This record gives sequence, structure tokens and C-alpha cells, in this order.
Amino acid sequence: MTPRARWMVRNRGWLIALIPLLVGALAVTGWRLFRIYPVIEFVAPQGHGSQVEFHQRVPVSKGSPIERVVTIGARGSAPVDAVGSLRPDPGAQLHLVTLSFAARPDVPLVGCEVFLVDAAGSRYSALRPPIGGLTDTASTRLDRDCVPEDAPGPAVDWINGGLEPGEGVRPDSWTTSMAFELPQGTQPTRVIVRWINQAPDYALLEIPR
Amino acid sequence: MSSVVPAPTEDAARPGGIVQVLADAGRVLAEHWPQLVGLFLAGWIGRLGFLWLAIAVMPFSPTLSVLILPLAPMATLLSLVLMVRFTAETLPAFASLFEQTSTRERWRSNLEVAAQVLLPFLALYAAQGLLSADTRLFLVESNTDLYLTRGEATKAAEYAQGPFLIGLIVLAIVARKAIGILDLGKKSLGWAFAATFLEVLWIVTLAKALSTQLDAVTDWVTSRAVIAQCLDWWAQVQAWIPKIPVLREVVAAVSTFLKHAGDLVIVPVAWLALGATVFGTQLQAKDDFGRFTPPIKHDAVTRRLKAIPSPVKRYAAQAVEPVTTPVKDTLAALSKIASAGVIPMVIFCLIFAFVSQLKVAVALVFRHFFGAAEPWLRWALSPYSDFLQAGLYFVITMALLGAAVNAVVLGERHRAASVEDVEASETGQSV
Repeated sequence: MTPRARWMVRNRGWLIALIPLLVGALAVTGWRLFRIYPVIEFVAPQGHGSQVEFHQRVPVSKGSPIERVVTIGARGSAPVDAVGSLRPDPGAQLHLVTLSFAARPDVPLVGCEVFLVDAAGSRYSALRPPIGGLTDTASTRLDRDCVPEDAPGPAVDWINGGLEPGEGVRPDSWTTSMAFELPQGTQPTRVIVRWINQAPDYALLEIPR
Repeated sequence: MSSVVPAPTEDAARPGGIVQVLADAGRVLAEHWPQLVGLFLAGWIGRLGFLWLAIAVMPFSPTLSVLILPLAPMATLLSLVLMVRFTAETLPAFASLFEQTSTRERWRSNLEVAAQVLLPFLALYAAQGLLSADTRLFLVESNTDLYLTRGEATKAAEYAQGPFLIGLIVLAIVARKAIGILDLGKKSLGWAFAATFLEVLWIVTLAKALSTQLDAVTDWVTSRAVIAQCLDWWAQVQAWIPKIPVLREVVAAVSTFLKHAGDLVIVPVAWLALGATVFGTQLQAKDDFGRFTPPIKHDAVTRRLKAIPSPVKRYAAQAVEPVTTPVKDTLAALSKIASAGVIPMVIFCLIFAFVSQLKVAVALVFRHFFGAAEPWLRWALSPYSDFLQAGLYFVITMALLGAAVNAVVLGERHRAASVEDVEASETGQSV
């Protein structure tokens, strides 16, 4: 028997077995990727165009999941020179994005976060208020939340399950504006609205021109 | 057997022999890579498969989960032993092991050997921190899984409570002792695997539980006034040591040496000693008079432990015995360096250390491709980096190990033959 033939006799079965073994190994290695990642990362966008009826089931440690149904619309985005006393950094441009929301007053919407996405797919988070807060931005929200400040509505009670009631009665619909700082010349094309740590669903909306 | 073994060359035991070792390792890889890769993959599937199974059943039964856990490192151990065993066919020193045998007989012989060496391999596996890495992976992943997917804390610590836990510990101590004294591990494949299962279970969970119970007793004892005073004095002495420059330097130098000696010398030599046992041969150590001494065996240690009069000492020693035996074996193995020549062994140790750095190279390549990914995605993909690192490391290391054991055994046979020749000629002269 030639060395080559001996090699084939010895290894033929193993070469055939390598394919299912490799598939099996890749599968068991993907525990995080296939089981945990799709639950904890925002991987499930909802929405076509500039408006979406967003549906989400939010699991809590006790009791049944909480249903979140809210209609979100992107009204538009416009570059601005300043937001109150806040001016853009050199080479950057401030944008104001206006969003509309409509939901029943008992739907928990506290804790949302909003991002702008440009044509290249880069994501920009909304500006946070400076320490001490801005005193002259009454017309523009800088706390990144989407709900009316004086009537935010209920929040999810993570510890006991169910909802924590909020102050006041939230209106059925409202609009809010948020400020973003983008590199000069960058045009935002889409906006992301999602709730912190409540993956995988998020709203992805086109910004109307 | 000696008739089929090629005449050992001087090279095998000489400094230049390291080139031969590398060439042999290359030949082993070329001849057996599908087997080595296949066995590694099977071991990896077993390891992570059992780990995930343990995590999946945890919400329903933490006890069952902890009983499944030992199967994960056992799968890795079995695959490593079989990988080393499969390289034998190509190595001159062991080629005769598999001549004229059917595939079925080979598998049977391989599994029998694997069962016998699983326990010492486990000790080396634990000494390298691989066992605690498995346990840590289990705890972290189960916690992550339960918290992120169900919003719950891990139940890993709830596998046994109160009397049930104490009962489990007593049962394990009795079973381990029975297996050790009756030597059941050598009686059949099933018993050998059961003994290993019990040992892993003991190390990963029950030993920790026992030490926690002992800690409670220790706390009570050390809180007694007289003992507390002595401990205070000792603490003061310990606090003073770093203030004395010379002592501080000495302590630092010794601890640095011990830390690196583990990675650089003890681990490769221990691998080598275990590699030799996989092939059914024991490396020989020399005694103070330069004579070859038989290596310390598991059952020999058990016999010695039986001779110790104090029962407490005996039980304590036997509780850690499977771990301490390879440590003693390792110390003996250090003296075996002489039998293969110091320089080849040093170079072998360096190569071993170098191969382990291949893992760093794989991690860097992975980082190049996925380093800028979203944090969660990078986190989710990182097990694939571990997979590639372990695959490359173990396949190359096991091939290298086979080749190195081959060189050492050939060198020993050559030396033994020389000694016999000298003795024969001396006997001839005296007659």
C-alpha cells in the first residue's frame, strides 16, 4: 500500500465526519449568538416610511409581559445654528428632529432613546443636557425622553412587575423635538426610537424630506 | 516489540534532537490532521453541549444541572487523551502498539487507556486552570442567560442545601474512597469513567461546599481569644515582611519564579509525563545515585496514604490525592529532564510556551475583524475566538507532545541498551 493510500484509509472516515462535526461545533459555540444575542440586542426593526404602529411585549420578572402599542411618526429634521445657548462644535452641525407620538395613557413609554442614522449607517445619539441643565431651551427637550415632561405616564415596574403610575394624565398624542450634533455635511436619513434595555424591538423611521 | 522499533538514533536524545521532534510533530500533523481536528471538534461539542445542557435544565433542577456539569470537562479530557493516542501510529517508538489490530480493537484499546489516564489528566487540566475556567464559564453563562432572557438570578448555588448537601458530600467521600481502595477504576471502563465523573464533581462543586462548611468551623476556632491573639501576631509579622527591602525582594523573586515556572517548566513536563502514560510507557526518573527509579503511581500513593497512622491526615490527603499525585509526578518529572538531556527539554518547554502564544495570535486576528463590532455582537462572537484558539493550540500541542514523548522514550531505550552493553562487557571481563 502506498503512503498516500494508507493516508486515505486512515483518514477517509474522519474527513467525512469533519463536516458534521464542524457544523456541530459551530452550533454549540453559537449559544450566545443564537440564544442570548437576539434577545438582548436591538435586532428587530419595525416600520416602513415615516410612521409606524409599534408593538412590543416587555417581559418583567413577575407576572405577564407588558404590552406596548404606540404610533410613532417622524415629522422632519432641520439643521439649526443653535439650541438655546448651545452651539455646535467646530466641524459639526446641530439638527432638530421632531417626532409625534400617539398612545393610550396607560401604555408605559418612559425610558425611550432616540438615534439619528445617516446614509452610511452611522448612528448618532441625541444630545444630553449639560450638567446643571440649560435654562433657555424650554422649546426643545434635551433629556432624550419622548414623553411630556409634566405628564410622562406610567413606567414599567421591573422589580414587582406591572406598572408604576406616573404624574398627571398623559394626552393621547403629542410631539417632541430633540437635538443632535452631526458632522458638517452629514444628512440624517432615518431615526431610531427604542426603549432602554428592552430589546429586540425598535422603531426605524424614514425622515421625510 | 524491540524488533519492530527502529534503532534509536543519538539525535533523539541530543540537543539536535529538538529538530527531530519538530519534524516528527510536522509529520504527525500531516498524517493525522483529520483525526486530530475531528477529535478536538468532538470534544468541543461535548464540552459546550453538556455545558449548555446544564444551563438549560438549571431553571427546572439545579441538582441535575450540577450533575451534568462534570461531563463537560470529561469530554475535553477524553478527546485530548485520544488525540495523543492517535499520533502513536506514526511515531517510531510506539508504532508497534497498533500493528496487526483491527479498527475495533484499536478503539477498545484507546478507550481503555483513556479511562485509565483520565484522572491524572484531570489533575493537569485543573492545574492549568482549565477546570476552573469551565466552572467560571458555566456560572457566568448561566447567570447571563437567566438574567438576560428571563430576568432571574442564577440558581447555580441552589443545587443542594442543608442535610441534602451534607449527604451528597458524605456520599461522594465514601464513593471516592471505595473506588480508591478497591481499585475499581482499573476494573472496567464504566468504573474508570464513574471515578473521573465523581472526581470532577468533587472538585467543581462538592470540595467547595465542604470548604465552606469547614470555613464556618475555622471561623469559630480562629475567633477564640488565644488563637485570635496568635493570628494577630502572625498578621503583624506578615505586614512587616514587605517593609524589609531584602525580604520583600526575595519574596517577590520567589513568587515570580514559581508563577513562571508553572507555565514554562512544570506544565510542559507534566504534559510530557502524561503523554508517556497515554502510550503505556512511564518516563523514568533518576535517584540521587543516578539510577533510574520507577515513577510514583496512583495506587502506590494510595498504599502510602494507608500507612499514615492519623486517620484525619489520611482522609485529608486522600481528599486531594488525585490532584497531589501529578504534582509529585511533576516534581519527579523534573528529574526526568536529565534522561532526555537538559537542552532539548528546555527547548521543548520553550516551544510549548511559544505554541500557547498562538492563542494570542488568533485572538489578535479575531480582534482585527470584529474588534470594531457592536459590543454585544463582539461578546456573542467571542466564543468563536475561544474555539479557534483552543483548536489550534490543542491540535498542535498534542502532535508536539506525541513527538516529544517519542524522542524521550527512544533516548531512554538507547541509553538503557548502552548500560546493558557496558554491564555485559564488565560481567564478561570479571568472568
